[in-house]
Amino acid sequence: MLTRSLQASLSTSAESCEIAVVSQLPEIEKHETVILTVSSYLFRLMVMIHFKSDASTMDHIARMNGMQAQDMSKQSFHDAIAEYGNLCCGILNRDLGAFFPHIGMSTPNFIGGQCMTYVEMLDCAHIQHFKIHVNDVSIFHVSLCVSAYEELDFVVNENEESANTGELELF
Amino acid sequence: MAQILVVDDSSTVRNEVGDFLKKNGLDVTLAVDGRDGLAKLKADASIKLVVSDVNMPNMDGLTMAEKIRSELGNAGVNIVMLTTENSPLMKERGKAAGIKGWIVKPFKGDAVLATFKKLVA
Repeated sequence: MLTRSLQASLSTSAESCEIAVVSQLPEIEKHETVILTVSSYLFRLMVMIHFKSDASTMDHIARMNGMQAQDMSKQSFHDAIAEYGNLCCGILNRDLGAFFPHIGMSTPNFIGGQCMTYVEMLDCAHIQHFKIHVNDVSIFHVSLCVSAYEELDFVVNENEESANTGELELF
Repeated sequence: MAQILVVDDSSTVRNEVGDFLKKNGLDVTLAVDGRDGLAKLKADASIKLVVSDVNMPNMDGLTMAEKIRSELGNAGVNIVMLTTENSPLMKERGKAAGIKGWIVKPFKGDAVLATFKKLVA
């Protein structure tokens, strides 16, 4: 569910996007992180997208916005990453909403990479890190932290499409 | 004089939607949240369509839609929400506020352009 939403939000359909589980995050204090939360009264999950303001990341974000990296301000670069995080968790929120109707998501917030050293203190039941390559270039790392307040069990059909995005539903 | 008001706190979305509509011959005004959107709508009587996010600081999109109907008494302007949300409860609230439609992000301009042009005609 998460990898599908990451692929849909952090790359275009024309790009190859490979997502692999990694045991730890490299040099994370040099990254910035955009963090979003999806939660219900039964659980809380946090998605943290770690990125650097380096040339390859700037190029990728600019390309997704149909512009040149040199034309992209630092503010618009950060705003774009926040929006992609928003899209990613929006997909998760919708997919999980099929099982947990009382669900909501946060707006994106930025924290420094050094904050990740305190994640263990949140005492999450499940923490997993991912590395994302777009067109064979390492662009993002992502951390998923889940806290459950009850025993949860649900079955996801991986072949089932998410909501019809981009289409206008007229009332 | 604008035909379409695009309201979103994300400059990425404002620019993406605004640029697409401008390239396709529509006049666009941008607003950063519901409060800004309401003020710009009050100031420009030529706006025929509002395309708005739901979750925004200061004033969210559904509250803005409710105020457009209750405070401005503006039944002529069409309102379409563009949001990551797909909750039936939110849609019901939007319907009660008289919104015309709902789009789940990401924005795919080609899928909605013809309808947008009808809504501003």
